[in-house]
Amino acid sequence: MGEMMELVINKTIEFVSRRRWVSIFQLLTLAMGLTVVGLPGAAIGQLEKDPRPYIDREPFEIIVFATGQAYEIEPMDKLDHNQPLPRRGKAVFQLLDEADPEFAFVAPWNRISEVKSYAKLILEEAKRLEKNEETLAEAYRFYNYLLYHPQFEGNRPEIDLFPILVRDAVASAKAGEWFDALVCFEELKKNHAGKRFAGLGDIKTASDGITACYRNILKQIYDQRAERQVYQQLRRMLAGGLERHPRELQELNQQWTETMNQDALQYLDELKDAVAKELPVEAQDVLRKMKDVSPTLPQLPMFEKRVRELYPMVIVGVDQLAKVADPRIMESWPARRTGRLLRSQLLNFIRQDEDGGIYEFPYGRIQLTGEDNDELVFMLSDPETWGNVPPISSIELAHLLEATATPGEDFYHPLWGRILDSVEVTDPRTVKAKLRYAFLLPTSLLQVPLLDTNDKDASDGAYEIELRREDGRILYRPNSMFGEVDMTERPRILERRLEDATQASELIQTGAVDVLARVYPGEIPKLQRDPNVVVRRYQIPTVHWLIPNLRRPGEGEGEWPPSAEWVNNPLFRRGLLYAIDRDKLVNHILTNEQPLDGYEVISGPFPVGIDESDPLMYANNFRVRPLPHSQDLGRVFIDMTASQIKAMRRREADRERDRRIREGEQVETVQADGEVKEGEVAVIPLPKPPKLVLVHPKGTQAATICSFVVRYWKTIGIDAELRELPDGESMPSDDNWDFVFTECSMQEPLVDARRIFGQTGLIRNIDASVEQALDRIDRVRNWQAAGASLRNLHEKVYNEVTILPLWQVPQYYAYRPSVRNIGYDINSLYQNAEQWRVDVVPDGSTQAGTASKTYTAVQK
Amino acid sequence: MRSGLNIKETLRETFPVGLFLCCCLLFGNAAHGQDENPDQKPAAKADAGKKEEAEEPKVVPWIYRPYEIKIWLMFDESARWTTEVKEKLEQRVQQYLETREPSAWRIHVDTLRWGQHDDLRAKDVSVDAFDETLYDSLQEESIDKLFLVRVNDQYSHLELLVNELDTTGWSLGPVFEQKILDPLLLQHSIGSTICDAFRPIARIESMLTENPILSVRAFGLMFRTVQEGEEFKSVADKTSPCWIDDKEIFEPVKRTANRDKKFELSKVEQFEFTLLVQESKVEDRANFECRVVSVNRAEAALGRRGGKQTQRYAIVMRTPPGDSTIYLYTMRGPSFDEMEESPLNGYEIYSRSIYGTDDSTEFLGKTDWRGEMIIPPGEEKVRLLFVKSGERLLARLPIMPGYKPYEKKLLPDDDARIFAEGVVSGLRSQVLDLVARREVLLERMTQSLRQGASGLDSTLAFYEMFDELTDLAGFQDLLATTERRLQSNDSRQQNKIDAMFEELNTFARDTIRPVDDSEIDEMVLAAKQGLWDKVQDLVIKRLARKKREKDAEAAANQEATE
Repeated sequence: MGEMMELVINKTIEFVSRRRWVSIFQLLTLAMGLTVVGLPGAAIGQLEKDPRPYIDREPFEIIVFATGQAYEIEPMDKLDHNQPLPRRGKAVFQLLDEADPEFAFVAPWNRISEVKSYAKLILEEAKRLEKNEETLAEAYRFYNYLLYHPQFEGNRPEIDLFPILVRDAVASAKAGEWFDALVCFEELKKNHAGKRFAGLGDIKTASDGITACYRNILKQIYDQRAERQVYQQLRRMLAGGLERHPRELQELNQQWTETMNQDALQYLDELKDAVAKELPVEAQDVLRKMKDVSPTLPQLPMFEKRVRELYPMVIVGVDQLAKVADPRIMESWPARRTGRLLRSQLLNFIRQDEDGGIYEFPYGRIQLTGEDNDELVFMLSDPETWGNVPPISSIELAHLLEATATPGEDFYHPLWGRILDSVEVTDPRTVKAKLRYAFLLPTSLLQVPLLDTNDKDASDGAYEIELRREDGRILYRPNSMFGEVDMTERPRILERRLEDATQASELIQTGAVDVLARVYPGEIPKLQRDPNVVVRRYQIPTVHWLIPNLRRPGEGEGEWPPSAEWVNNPLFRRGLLYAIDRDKLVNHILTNEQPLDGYEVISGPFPVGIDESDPLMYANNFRVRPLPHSQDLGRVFIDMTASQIKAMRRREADRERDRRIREGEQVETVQADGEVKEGEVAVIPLPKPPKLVLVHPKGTQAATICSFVVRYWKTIGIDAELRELPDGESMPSDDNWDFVFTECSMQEPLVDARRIFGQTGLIRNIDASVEQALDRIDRVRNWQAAGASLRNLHEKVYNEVTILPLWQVPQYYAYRPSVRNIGYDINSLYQNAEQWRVDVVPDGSTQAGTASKTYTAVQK
Repeated sequence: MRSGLNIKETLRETFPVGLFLCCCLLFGNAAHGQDENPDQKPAAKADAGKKEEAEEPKVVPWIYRPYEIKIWLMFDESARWTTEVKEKLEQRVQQYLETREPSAWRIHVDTLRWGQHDDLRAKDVSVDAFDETLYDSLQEESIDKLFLVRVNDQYSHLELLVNELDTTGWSLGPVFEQKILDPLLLQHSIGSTICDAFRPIARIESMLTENPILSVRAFGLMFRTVQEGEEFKSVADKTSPCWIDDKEIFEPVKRTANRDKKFELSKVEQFEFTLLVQESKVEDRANFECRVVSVNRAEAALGRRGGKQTQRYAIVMRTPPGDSTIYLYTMRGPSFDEMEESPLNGYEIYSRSIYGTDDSTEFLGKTDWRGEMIIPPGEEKVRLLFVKSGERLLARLPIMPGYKPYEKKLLPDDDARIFAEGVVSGLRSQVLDLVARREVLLERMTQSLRQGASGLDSTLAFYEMFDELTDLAGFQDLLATTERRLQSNDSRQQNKIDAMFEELNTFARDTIRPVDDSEIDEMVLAAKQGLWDKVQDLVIKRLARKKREKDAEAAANQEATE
């Protein structure tokens, strides 16, 4: 009592004189309070102690009074702990549990017997812990803290860790905890190399210990070899160990390499069997297993060469397998990719140029004639010059042109239907299409497949499906409809689904996969740094949107879901768009903080292009700026929507009341306060936003983005649930959704606008002004007008928030150099699939050391 | 000639007598028919009928006047159709129809040779193929209905195509098609298809009441005497093709006689997208009520009343199930003389029940680039189509899908208004955005000013952002500039555009309030000068004002409700 009273009084006096002016009343209250609190809890053992270990707390000290009372205090910076305590004057200190940092306490030095420094406290605690075998590791942690933490620089106590480490290592080894023992032995080797110790039989030095630890650890891993990745772990463990301890592990490395080689050779019979049965995928799989077990197996290059000679194959890692193969489906990356492989088209997109897309007509040439450029003449060349395309006669071509203009046909293109007037076969090699009016780029409308795409396994393209495997992989082989194919020359293509982006990168780096159809943005720099991987950008970036499910009154069957009237409201959609921090998502989350060009937030449906020379940018209206991220504005718009919906409901209720009154019904309503009123409608409460359903295609990237979107919406009070589409689907087949995350490849905005908006597009329910803007696009005659019309459409879509535009994403593909002729500036991975070749010896001759036999027949 | 109303009254008084007379006529007819030589040609019978009429100076009343029906059988060039076969068919068709309805119609069957009216043999024959000469001759013969019966040998089967032409309204009914596998059934099929294709007619007697009153042609001739016990009773034959029962839909027509009391084709008028919907059932009286459903106002739907020479009729609309294509267009051109049809693309078409039994509206789709849309049949015979473009309802079009394969409608050119609507929509989103931003910044500034001096920096930062936003005057300038750009030559369109801008201007005035600007200016000025007491006062005043306004708004809403 006496010590504390004095402390309080001193404190009060000091406080008044040194710190700041407070009223006497306040001081007294404070003093009384401290007195009351301080009395029973004077001794440290009785104070409520912080349960955390000392080293996990902020540095502190303990002041011990002559009477034995002790307090935790803030470190006394001016006190030198190596010197004895002063005997005169007063110590000024701050208690740890004092809430106000302005408060300081004062006590005469002669009443203080000791001030324990933080280092001393830790050391004492370490010594206490060391006594118990069970807390030895914890003691070691305390010692390490003292030895290496910078705060003790110049004031570090002398500590000998050798006995502790030996004790810890011995204890861990005996307990079979070889990883823990290894840490101790490595520490002993680092600081006490060669120093001998006893207690573990033959293990006398740290090096002996390290060898023993590795032997046991590797064996433990090997015992689980039923899992294939065990060998990878073994190699990784050995490689890491060899780097640090080459001398100790040399012998062990040889033993294990031999073991792994033997294990790999066990698959030899399986490989022979697969080759004998002419099963290319199985042969590749066995090779892959052998490589997994022992990539340095001396015979492996020979096996690989043999298998590749027999069955050249390109393994393509894809994020999604295609459900349908149709190069026209702009919102489905897998459908477009596979469509280009399996389907022949009347015209093929080659690249984007200043005057729109460049299209190739494999059957000859196309000429725009007529006084007003309103005649399209198809001149078929000699069929022998056509290459590997399905044959077509002029009559068939004329039918196809007509079918493309006929609603209901699989080939139908609404704009071609609009501009085509008549088709005439003028001679066996010439077909003339008379247009109703001159359209700017009529060839862009004729990227139509020659086969009905409803037959999903039919193929008239460069490749055909050889096998759909049960494990989800699809094997393609060169199409046999163009004659016998030398299967040792043109490679098969095996598509393999890789969900995990990091795994996909690792697989291409290790050679398990030859091509990655798409590289996750965050992985691009890593792969670009790898000399064994080529990373290239597709010419056309994709644009990401959230498409709202705009329901129209009277459309579809059944009741509207509660969210319909909200989603239909442009204010609501604007609020949702404000809430999404698109810049952060695209430039930080999507790219994994990597600085990459071309990743930009967009304000409309069109891509902004990669740079100013990008011809794609003509459609984008740069005057329309993307909405900034603002939760506040998002909330305001949601509130506005609620008010609008309330007003609307009120009007409906009034109309219903009037109708009932007209029909002579008695209208009585119970009001919110319970009062029954005649001829009045009930008070309509402010509606609450519904729970939304956000749908996304299968895939990690889409799932990550959408989960962030849901989180952003949550911040403005909008709940949403995620729904994943089945593999290969890009749009939900039902109506139970509110928004769908879509990724579109738009290679020709002029004609793709119709594929997005309008009755045959992705967004059917569009505003009249958007419809009018589309109509103008359909009738443009020059690029200037095309740009203006598309920019007008952009503005209308922005105003109505017809879609929630997110960002533009440049897409990259990656391949190993052993795959040749993939091409650059391509728009679709399989654009040049017919020219694809693979080296027999993987990745050129560098690995095998011999000249590689390259079957490169055609170099484009 | 008595007016329709007088007839109505007379009928009420003399109905039982009429029925009796009718029965006598029926029996007389039947007896006469039995006495006749069966080989006698129908034409001869028609001649006989004409003679009788010529002898009768008085016109037979409407409800006792049988339909005069001419049937043209048109066979293709197949060798199957010998003269004998054709003649037999003529007779049997006549017999079939006379058996089916013995008194309400008179049938005259002819076979057309090749070279006679070959242009009418096409399946999709239109009313334009029937020329004025034919009209005059049919009028001369007092023919009410002309049936085109085309029989084509398709080798595996016989194809039968039947169209009915109503000569009163010069309206061609839809084609009824039959596939006949057994040639022996041909006469039966022709007869039954004619019955199906037959469209009875009613005369519009009165348009003075809210709903027009119509009377059924040959009503009095469709009663049969049946014996019930010992009593004879007259009962309406509701199975007769000429009977009009209930819930029928009618196509109104109008014709006007010239000074010689003759009718000319040029004076026959049809009413576009106008239908009559039967409201009352025909039981023991010839009269019934109809409701007008039209693209025009009900009172103007059937045209001006006209004089005594003007007659209005309503033809029952009957069609096999099928689609109709509707074509919407407008007239555009650099000058009035150079106007051309321009299809209206992307116009929304909704459908509702014509009876109002179901309030729900069904969205059917949008017109394509040709301005066309196929209208499929619905649950009811008729659909009431609503044509919308943007936020505006442009037309209500009643239509019976399948009745006419192709219908066109001229609508006013709406292009300028839609464009203006898009522009206004953009401006509306701008002003909403502006209002939201102002609200957020005003709220933030008020909150930081309440913190006192420590909130001054953030207040000034927000104030700078607030200052950069457009104010009311700036927005109104933008509105005025934009409105000047959107001038339409059409005054109605211009009025609509003006109304849209006025609405937007009002909204802007109500939401972008200069008082907010002045209050915040004053507060920020006081804060800069360090007059924090004044700032707090102003903040409190502002909050109080906002609360008052909110309360007043709530009260106004409440008052409006009451």
